[in-house]
Amino acid sequence: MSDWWNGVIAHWGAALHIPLAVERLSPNDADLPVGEWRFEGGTWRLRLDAEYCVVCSRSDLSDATRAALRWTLDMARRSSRQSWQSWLRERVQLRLQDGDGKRGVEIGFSDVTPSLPAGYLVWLHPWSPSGQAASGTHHPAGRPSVADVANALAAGSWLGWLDPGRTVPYTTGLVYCTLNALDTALDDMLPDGEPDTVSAFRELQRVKQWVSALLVQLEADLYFPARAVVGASIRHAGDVEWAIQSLRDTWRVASMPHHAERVLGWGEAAVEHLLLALSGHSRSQFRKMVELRTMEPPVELSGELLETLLGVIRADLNVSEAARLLYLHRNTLLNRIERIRQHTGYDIRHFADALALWLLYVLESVPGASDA
Amino acid sequence: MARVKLEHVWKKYTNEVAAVKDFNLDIQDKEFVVFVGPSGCGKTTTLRMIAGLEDISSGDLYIGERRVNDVAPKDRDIAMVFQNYALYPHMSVYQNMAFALKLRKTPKDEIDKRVREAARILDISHLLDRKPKALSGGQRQRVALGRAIVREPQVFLMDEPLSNLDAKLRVQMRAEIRKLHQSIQTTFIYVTHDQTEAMTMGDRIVVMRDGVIQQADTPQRVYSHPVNMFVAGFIGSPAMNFLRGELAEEGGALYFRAPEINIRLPEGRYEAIRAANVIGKPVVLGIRPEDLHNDEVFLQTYPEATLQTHVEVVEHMGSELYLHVNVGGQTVVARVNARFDVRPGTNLSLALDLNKIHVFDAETEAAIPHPTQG
Repeated sequence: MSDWWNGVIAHWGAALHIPLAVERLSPNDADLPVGEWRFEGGTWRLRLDAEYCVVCSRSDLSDATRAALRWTLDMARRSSRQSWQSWLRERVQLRLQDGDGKRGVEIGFSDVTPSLPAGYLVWLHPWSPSGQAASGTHHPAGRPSVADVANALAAGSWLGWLDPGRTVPYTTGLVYCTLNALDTALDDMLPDGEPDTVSAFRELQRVKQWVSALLVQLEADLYFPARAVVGASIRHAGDVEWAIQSLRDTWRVASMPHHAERVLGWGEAAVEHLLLALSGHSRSQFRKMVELRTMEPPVELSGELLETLLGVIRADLNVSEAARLLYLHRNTLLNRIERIRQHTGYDIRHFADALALWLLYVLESVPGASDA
Repeated sequence: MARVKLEHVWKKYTNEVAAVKDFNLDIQDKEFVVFVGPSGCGKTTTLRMIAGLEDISSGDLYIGERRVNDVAPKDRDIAMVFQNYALYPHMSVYQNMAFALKLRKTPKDEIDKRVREAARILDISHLLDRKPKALSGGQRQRVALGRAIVREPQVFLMDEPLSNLDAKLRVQMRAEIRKLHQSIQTTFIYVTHDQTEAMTMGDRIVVMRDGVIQQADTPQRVYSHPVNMFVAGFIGSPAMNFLRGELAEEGGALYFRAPEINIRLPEGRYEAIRAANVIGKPVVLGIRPEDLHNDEVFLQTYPEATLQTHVEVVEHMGSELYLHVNVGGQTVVARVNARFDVRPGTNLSLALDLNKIHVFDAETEAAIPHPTQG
């Protein structure tokens, strides 16, 4: 007996306290179309397939409940025939295009989910580092070729294009990088591929290495510049929803002006993730607190101040290293730091002061910060 | 085959930071030009603008006679090789080389012809049926080059293609790429942060810093006549020594003076130094480690250009010694023949080859031109 309906029936029976059972078709069911209800002999019967139907002994089963159960069983039937790729594609598109309002459609699905290989979702944004996103839809490389390149690096990894939605206004691509594919691909593909996958961090680094290779191939073979974010790891179907949310959050962080990475993984910029969660009120309070110390508010995080601040932060507050990174003489940099101290009251050679200005800078970069 | 010309090209990001500033360069047809500079100097950004992977904020880019600012990358007739240019793991070498052409719907016969010709040039015809896993690092890199060659582009763009290879293989591949350039006679633009690669490969090297071209010239001229302290310090290993001091005029002669240093400059340099108006001002005297000598001939030839030094460290490099010496509180590196027995803690006289000294304005860091500089 096929069992694709078991999960749905058990789940719905328990959740709605209705008696549902699966029985063989009776002779009277012969003309009942698959997926349709009929009331007969005081019970509701819905045909599941050529042999079985589901029976509810409650005569007062409402129209709405019957419609919802019929729809869920129909989806379960479809899912049972789906590959994990199409199952994942369907869910990811729902999440990325329609926001979080679709939770209900997954009632009863978990037991019919195809076996999902562990891996990472990768969201590919056609991109130029100048900050302008290229249009994937109209890109001369064409959609099929991008899929060909991704699948040539790891078979079956390409999930599809996501058309413009609320999250991003241009076409993006989705890739599912399975750990199995990584194991076989990376060592063969790159001269310095390492087999070590001990820690989650190392695993993410390997995924990023693969994604970087994908981006290079897209540029070299298709002249298609892109950036990518990697979501949280997926070990089973239940992780998909969180992974999609993590993709969205990681893209928000990657979009901040100070992030120049071509590939950013979820969790690599934990502080920015935290800042994104702050309300507009909290942001505005923070700005007020920072400006309490300044002589000439507001602090303008731009030009020389910003360049110096970011240089010193990149150099882990090491002035000599910062001078090297900024191509400045050490004394020139020290003069600048002193000017900044006099102007703002913050001495960026000290961790707490540098951190306060850097947090202010990141908060100002957060989309919607101006609304605060 | 094509000339590549950049006129007043700027690259500005959304936050108004300029990655490339007023870049002007005329690359001749079939020329091999190397962009070199420290990371973040704008060399890769410039290459990506030529490729069309980056928008040009302002200025004009020509490939051949055509202005290509708004031409899609695929129509610019270029091919790129990157540092992490991987091979498709499940494809043979032949399929790897053919892949980009297949994506562009090139006819099968034409693909076959181009792949076999590229394989012949790169001497990898015997590897065509192999999978990447069965190739050595050097062979993989040659296949990566082959994937660019099959496109028969007007211009090759290479972004640090050898950075992933070990030192020995890199030396070998440098020669291979140079040979490739000679055999296919196409314009090459090559980006590296490695000054040795730049010096050994380019017909011309473009030294960049902070988005600005510092100097664009032949490797020999960049080495012999750096235009400023940055170029002088960046090109050459060990780096050029810089001695800080002042220029003084006495009895019609010019002297470079610093604590424990008093060097009479050659008369041939007087005119340029006077024109630069730096007498009595702080200057930097540059001298390459190989232009400091401890043999008697030089010490007798340049008695007024001898430094009394104290040896602090001796590095044995096989046929040479690198001596780290102190003179008047300034550290200087000298490269001398290993036949000399020099030990740390001893005093040593070193003569400067006065024909090879460089004088820089300490404030602007610009070189005061050498008379042999045209």
